[in-house]
Formats: sequence, structure tokens, C-alpha cells
Amino acid sequence: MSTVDQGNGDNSGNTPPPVPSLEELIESIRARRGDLIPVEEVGSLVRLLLLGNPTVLGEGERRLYGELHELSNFIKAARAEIAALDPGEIREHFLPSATDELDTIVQDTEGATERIMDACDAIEAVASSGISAEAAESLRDITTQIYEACSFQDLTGQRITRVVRVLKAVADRVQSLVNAFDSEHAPMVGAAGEDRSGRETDVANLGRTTTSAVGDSADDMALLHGPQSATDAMKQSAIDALLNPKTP
Amino acid sequence: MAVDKNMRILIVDDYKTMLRIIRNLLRQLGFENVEEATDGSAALTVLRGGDAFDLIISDWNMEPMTGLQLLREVRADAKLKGLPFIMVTAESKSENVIAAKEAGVSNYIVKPFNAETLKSKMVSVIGDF
Repeated sequence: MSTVDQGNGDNSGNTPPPVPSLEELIESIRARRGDLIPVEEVGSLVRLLLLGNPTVLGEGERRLYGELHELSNFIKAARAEIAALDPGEIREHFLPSATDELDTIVQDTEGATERIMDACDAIEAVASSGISAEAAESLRDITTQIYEACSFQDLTGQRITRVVRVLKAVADRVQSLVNAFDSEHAPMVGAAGEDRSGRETDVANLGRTTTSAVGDSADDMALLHGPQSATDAMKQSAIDALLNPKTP
Repeated sequence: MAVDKNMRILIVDDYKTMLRIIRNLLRQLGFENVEEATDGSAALTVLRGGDAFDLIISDWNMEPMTGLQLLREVRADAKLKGLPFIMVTAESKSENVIAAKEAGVSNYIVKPFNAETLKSKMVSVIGDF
């Protein structure tokens, strides 16, 4: 009985051992395992037979088989990891928890801003209460600066709204991945209230409704970028120049 | 001709804090006849009912109707089309400014802004005060 040899040979310069024929491979397996092979082992035996004799598969086919085998293992591992993501938990627990926190931030900052402006109203009342004109002017200048600074709350709210939309988009993507890899068990639904109007998912504008207003279009939606970073935002002077090119 | 500080101004923004800020800044500039709306649709209802307004100061990013859509509605309305319209918004890309300009905006202020900027843009639109 010939020894099963997958044809690897050796590098010593000696003549490589003869490649076993298909029949010899089968005999070798029978000698070790008998005639009864469990079904779950058939796959590995087929692989052994295919790879054990280069006349069954050519070199290119053997390489392709090897790559497909690796790809199969990769897909199995990816499916297992994606299944472990548990999109239900993300949608039902993580996402609401995160959006609740972000909503609370907006509410808290709004409340704080309102209290700050209430204080400014009180200061302005003092400025109008008969104190010196110079002092009154100083107080009004100070309250003006405070009003200007309080606009942070508006921009904070807009940025947080965009973050919430991104989170919802991530949850949708996870669900889509699960649907793709486990279509047998995953529910084929999208996020509640999601706008799937046939266009590519625009993360920044998820959930935003469109209206029938004059000129309303997908192009208008594409203009809704929200607050930009300090380095990306156009300065007021640049906007003035764009709006009125001939005005100094 | 001197600006009438009793002119009617409509401010439009979905954040009530911003509405309060702009109202307070306008008050400091001497303008007290100010009304508010929280989005373009509500603003349109206010504009089309009752006495005429003299100036609109509007945010862009609102729902269900944006400030850009409101601007187009105003410019398409025979009774409203001549109204001065200042956009006050965090939308600061050049394409936004161009779109607003093409829609007929009178001036454009990017957030965050200061009182001096608001005054200078109002002056350019309604005259010195």
C-alpha cells in the first residue's frame, strides 16, 4: 500500500516520491478508516482525494481550490461576527440610549441658554433703571456679547441632530449586513420612519421630510450640509464677496 | 429716507433660543415690532395673513420647509416678492450662497454672527439707521 502523499516532495535534490494514483489514495483511506465514512467527513475526504493527486486537479485548479477554501472560511467567520452584532440590540437599546443622551444634551443646553438670557434681561433692566449713561452703555455691550455667544446652542443642536442621523444610518447598515449574510433569519425591514425615496442614502439628511414647496428637489436636500468646522466654514467676508462681487 | 424703526420684521428659526437672540439684538438696535415663526411653512402663513412685513430674517435648515424654500415662495408671490430677505444660517458653503443668491436673497449671514454683522447687513438692505 502506498503512503498517501500530496505531492509536496522534498528539497533535498532527491527524486520526489511517486504521486499516488486515485485508486491508491482510496485504498489508503480504506485501510485507515474502513468502508464506513461519516457524512460530515465526506467533505474533507473529497478534498484529500482532489489535492492528493495532481492528475485530478491541475496546478491552477488546485490553487483556485485553495483560495476558494480560504474565502469560504473567511465568509463563515464574517457571518459569525456579523451575527454576533445583534442589530436588534443596537436598534432597540444602544441607539435609543445614545439618542436619548444626545437629546438630553440639547435640552439641557437650551435650558441653560434660556437662563443666561433671562439674566441678560435682568441686566438690561438695570441698565434702564437710571444708572449713568456710561454704565448703561457698558452693560448693554456686555449683554450683546452674551447674546452673540449664546448662539452656540443653535449650532450644538444642529450638530447633534446630524450625529443622531449618522447613528441611525449605522444601525441601518448593520441591519443590511445581517440581512445579506443571514437572510433566512433576519427581518427584511428598514428603520421606522426612514426615507427611502429611491435615492442613495444621504446620512446627513436621514429622516428629513421633503415638501411640495416651490423648487423643492433632491438638489435642495444636497445643500443641507449643516454647521461646518472652523477650518471648512466660509468666512463672512468671503460670503459677502460671493454675494456682491463688485461691493468692496 | 430714514428707516422707520417701527417696521415689521419677521424672524424665522426652528430654535427658539436663536429666535430670542435675534429678537434681543434687534431690540438693542431699536427694532421692537418683531414677530416669529418656527419654520418656512409657518412663516408663509404669517406673511400671507394680516398686515404687510418690511423685512424677513430667516434660518435655512428647518423642517418641513427650509429657508431656501421659503425664499423661493416669497419671490414667487406677487404680493411678497419685493420683501427684503436676509438668510441667517450655519450653511456656509459657496454652493449655498450661490443657491440663495439665485433664489433672490437680499443678504446672507453665516452663524455664528455678531450684532455688528447683523446691523451692517440690515443697513445694506433697508438703509442706514
